[in-house]
Amino acid sequence: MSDYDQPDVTVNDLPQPTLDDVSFDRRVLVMVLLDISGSMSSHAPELYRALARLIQELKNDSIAIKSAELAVVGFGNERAETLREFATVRDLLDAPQVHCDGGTPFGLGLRRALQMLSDRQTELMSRGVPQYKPLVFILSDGCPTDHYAPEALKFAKAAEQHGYNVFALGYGDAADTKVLGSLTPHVFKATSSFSFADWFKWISRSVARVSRSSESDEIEIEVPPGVIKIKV
Amino acid sequence: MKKMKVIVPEPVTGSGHAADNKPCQDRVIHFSGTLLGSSVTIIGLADGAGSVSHSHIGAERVLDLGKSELTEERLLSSIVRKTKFPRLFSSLSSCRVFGIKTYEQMWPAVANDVVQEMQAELTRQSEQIGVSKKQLATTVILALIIDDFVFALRVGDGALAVQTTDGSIQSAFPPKTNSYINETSFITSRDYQVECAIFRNVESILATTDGCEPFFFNQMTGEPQSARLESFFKVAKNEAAESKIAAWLNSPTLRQITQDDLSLVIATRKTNHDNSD
Repeated sequence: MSDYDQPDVTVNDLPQPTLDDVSFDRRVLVMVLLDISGSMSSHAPELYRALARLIQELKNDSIAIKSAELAVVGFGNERAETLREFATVRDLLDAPQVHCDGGTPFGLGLRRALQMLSDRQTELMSRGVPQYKPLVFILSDGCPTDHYAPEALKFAKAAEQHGYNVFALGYGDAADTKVLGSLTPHVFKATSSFSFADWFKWISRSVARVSRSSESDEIEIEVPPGVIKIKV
Repeated sequence: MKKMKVIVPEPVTGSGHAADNKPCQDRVIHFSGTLLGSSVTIIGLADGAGSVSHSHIGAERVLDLGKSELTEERLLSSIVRKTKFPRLFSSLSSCRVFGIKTYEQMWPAVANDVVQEMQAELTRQSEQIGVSKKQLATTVILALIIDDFVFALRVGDGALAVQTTDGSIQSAFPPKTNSYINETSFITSRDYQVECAIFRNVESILATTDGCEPFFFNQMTGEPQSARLESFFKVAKNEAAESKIAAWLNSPTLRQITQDDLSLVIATRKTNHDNSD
């Protein structure tokens, strides 16, 4: 091969990249796990607006729009509800309407979230799509009303094993931050200046930052406005 | 043994960095010459970590060996001195007698020495500019082509493909397929690993940072995209290859489908036409 003369080729012989080249796809899975028990009902419109804003802000981000896949799971009314299946932000048309009712089946919510994360990761891996560490954001205003402990243990183990970055927010006086602390060291408690809009804006910033990262460092956690970090 | 022709386009700032007004964090180098009667080519690529403040300096320091002040000949002797390659060269004669096994035993030790020297340089640099060493985090791929051998090392990500004289193409360093993107290790990481590879009968090599990597390597299997690589190797032998490949690297489509900085280096045996120049 070394002995042949200069090959007769031009730049046109270089294979060109195309916009639909899936080999460049990258994903960051973002799971939002929301307490939609009856005690959250007065916040349902606010939650809807904050979710809509989160989606819009991610759509406005040139990188997150293609790489972030958002799913929303609610737990309330004695069941877990998939409010949005995983989909790239680009493909999300609107935010889910949130209907709050009943108790706080936290364990069911954790189980659903974990199953969805696991299924989606497996699917992406089977297609060879590189992933960033998934982000999980949990919001709850009360104590679990189901037999949550085994699910919490499974979730915490999976999060550690698979490198999920989990952030949990306790909202209101009845929020059980000890339960949240069994899942992650990143537990926050809402203060009087808290707003759902600020919390979801922080989520959007965190997603945008992760989708640009390439390092082994843990994400630097800035405490979002309107919350304090709880030692767990 | 024909000398190598090296194509080293200027790295292209990724659209993500451009949008964030950040500098390109990729750096590339190459040197060619003759040492102790052997034809020697060295290529290097470094990809500074995205979120730390001075990684473009880190990438530069692990590769830069005083390029602006030295002639090529002096530069080569400088890189050889600084990277402790003399150990390799001084053993060259005996290795020729004992064959590739000796090289395989020797190269990992030399490669580790090279990386330690790079780390020492980053320590000096961090003290000089008053930032922590972590802020200089970078990956690195270095390939040393001596006669028909290539000795390569990698810390972190990026990939390297080798075409041998029988035309076959292999991944010397395939992309990392089993980790999250944000689990890349750097030369400054506590748990960094120095990966080593040796190939013989080398016709061409292509090294890339992670920006272009998906174009040249299957992201699921790590296998090289041989047809694409072969096209690049053929064009690399052609006249004006540098400008053609630079134009490819600057393609608006490429900059749209990835936000990463883009860099690649190709080294290929000169053709009869080149050698008669």
